[in-house]
Amino acid sequence: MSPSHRSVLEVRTAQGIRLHYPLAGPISRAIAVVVDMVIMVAIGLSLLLAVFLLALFAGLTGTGFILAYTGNLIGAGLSIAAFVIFFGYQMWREWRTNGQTPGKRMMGLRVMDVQGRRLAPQQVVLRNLLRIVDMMPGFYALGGIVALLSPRSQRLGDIVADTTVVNIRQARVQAVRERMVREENSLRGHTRVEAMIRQSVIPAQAALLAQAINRRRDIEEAARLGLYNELATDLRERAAIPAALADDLSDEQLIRNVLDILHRTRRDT
Amino acid sequence: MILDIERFAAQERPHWDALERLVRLGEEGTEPEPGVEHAMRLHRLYERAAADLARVRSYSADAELQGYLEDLVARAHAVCQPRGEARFSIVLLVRWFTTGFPRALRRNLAAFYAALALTCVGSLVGGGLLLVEEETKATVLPFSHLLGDPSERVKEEEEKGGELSASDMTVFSTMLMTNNIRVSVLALASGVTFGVGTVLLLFYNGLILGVVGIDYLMAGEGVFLFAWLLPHGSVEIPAIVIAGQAGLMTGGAMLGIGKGSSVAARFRDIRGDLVHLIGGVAVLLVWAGIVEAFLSQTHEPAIPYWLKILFGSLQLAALALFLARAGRGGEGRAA
Repeated sequence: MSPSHRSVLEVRTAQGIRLHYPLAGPISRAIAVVVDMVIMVAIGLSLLLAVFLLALFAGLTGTGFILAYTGNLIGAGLSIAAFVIFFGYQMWREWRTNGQTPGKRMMGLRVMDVQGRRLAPQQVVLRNLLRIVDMMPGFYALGGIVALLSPRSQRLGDIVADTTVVNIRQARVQAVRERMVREENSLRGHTRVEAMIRQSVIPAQAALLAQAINRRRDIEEAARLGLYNELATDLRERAAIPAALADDLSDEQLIRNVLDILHRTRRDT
Repeated sequence: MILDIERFAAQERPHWDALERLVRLGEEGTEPEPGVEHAMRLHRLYERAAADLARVRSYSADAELQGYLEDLVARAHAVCQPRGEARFSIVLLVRWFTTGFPRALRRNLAAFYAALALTCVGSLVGGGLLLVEEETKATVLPFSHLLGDPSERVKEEEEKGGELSASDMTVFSTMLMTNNIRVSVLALASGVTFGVGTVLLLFYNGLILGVVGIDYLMAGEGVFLFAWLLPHGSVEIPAIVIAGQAGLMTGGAMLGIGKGSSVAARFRDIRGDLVHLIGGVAVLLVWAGIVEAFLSQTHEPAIPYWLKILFGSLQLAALALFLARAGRGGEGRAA
C-alpha cells in the first residue's frame, strides 16, 4: 500500500519520524498556475479600470487637463505595476501563506521545502524568478518537462530553491470506509478483541483485506470463497478472536467486521 | 502499547486540536507575535503529536487515525521552523544594500571576473567583426536607431537638444528599468541551463557593446559615444555583469562546482548570495534607468559633453569603490 517513491516526498524529522507528502501532479499544478494568472490579470485590469474611471471622472468634471499632464506618469505607473505583479504577486502570496497562492489553495497544493522546513524568503524569491526560464518557450513547457523527469516533480525554479509542490491531504481513508458494512458488527463493543485486532493487523494486511472486499465482483466465486477463507482463518489466529464471537460469522462477514473496526469513524471522540 | 484506541484518541484529542489551531495560525501567517512561550507550546504539542504518531504506527492498523496524525505532524513540522525576518524599512534596505550586496559579490569574485571576461571577449569579437565586415552591424544590432550612420545620429540628437518633457523621460526611464531588470533576471535564471544561457547572454551583450563602440569611434564620434554611454552605462553594464555573475554561480552549482555533494547542497550554499546579487542589481538598474532617461539622452548644447563624461567616470569610480570596500569585514558565508 505504500506509495511509490515517484509520487511521494519523504521527510525525516529530528524526532526520527518519517513524514510522507504526496507530490502534486502536473494537471493540478497547471490549473493552479492558470487560476493565479487569471487573478494577476484581474488585478491588472482593475488598475486599468480605475485609471479609465479616473479619466471619465476628469472628463465629466472638466478637469481633464490634469490628465494631459499626468497621463504619461500614470502610464509609467501602470507599467511598473504590471512588472511588479508579474514578478512579485506569487512571491508575496507564497511568503505570506507559507507556500500557498490562491490557485494552489484552491487545488489543495502547497510549496514546500524538500526537508519539510518552513520556506525561507530566498527560496520563495528564487523559485519565482526562475519562472522566466521555466515558462520557456511557452506554457511552462521547459519547467513542465523538467518536473515530469524529476523524481521530486521539481521544475527548474524548484531545483534551485530546493522546494517542491505537495498535495495537502485532508483525509487518507478513501473509498474503503464507504464500502464498510453499516449494520451491526458483532465484534464491536468487545474492547479486548478490538484492541487485539488493531494491534495484530498491520497496515499492509488491512489494505489486502480492503482490496479483497472492494474487488469482490472481479473474483470468480470459488476463488473468492477460497481467498476469504484463507484471510479469515489467518485473522482468527492472528487476532485470537474467541470462537464464541467468530464461529457464527461467514468468512466474508468476519473480514468486513474486522475492516469496520480498523477504519470506522470516531464520531464520539 | 495502545490497548484501547478509542480511549487513546479521546485522551490525546484536546492536544491535537490545540496543535491544529496553532498550525492553522502559522499557515495563515496570523500567528501572534513570536515569543518564547508561544514557540515552546507549539514545539511541545508538536513533539507530543509526533510521539502519538509513532505509537499509532507501531501498535495500530488504524489507517484513518494514522493519516490524520501524519497530516498534523507534517504540517506542524513546517510551521515549527523559525519564520525569519520579514520586516521592511528604508533603514534595513540601505543597510542591506551597503553590506549584504557588496559582500555577496566579493564572496564570489571568480564568477564576477568570469562574467566580466565574457563581456569583454564579446566586445572584442564584436569590434573585430565590424572592422573586418561592415555588414556585422545589421546582423548583430537589435536597435534600429543604431543601424544608421553615427555622425548623422549625433547631428540629429544635437539638433533635438533636450526636447523630451519630464513625463516623457519618466515613461522612458520606467521602460528602461523594467526591461533591464527583466534581462538581468534572465541572466541569472538562464544559469540553470548549466550556465550556457548566461554565457550566451553575456557574450551577446558584449558583442553589441563592441559593435556600437567601434562604429562610433570609426566615425570620429568618440566624445559623443562616451558622453552618451558613460552616465548610465557606468552602472548598467556592471549591473548586467553582476547578474551574469549570479547566472554563472547558478550554472556552476548545476555542473557540480562548489561546496556540497548534491545540487541541493550546492544551491543551499549560494542561495542567499544569489538573492543579494539580483536584489542589488535591481537597485542599480533603477538608478541607471533614471540617469539614462534624464541625463544620457540629453546632449550638447543642453549639457556639455565633458560634464556628462566627468559624471559617468566619477560614478564608475564610486561604484567600483563601493563594491570593493562597502561592508568590509563581514565576508563570511551568507546564512
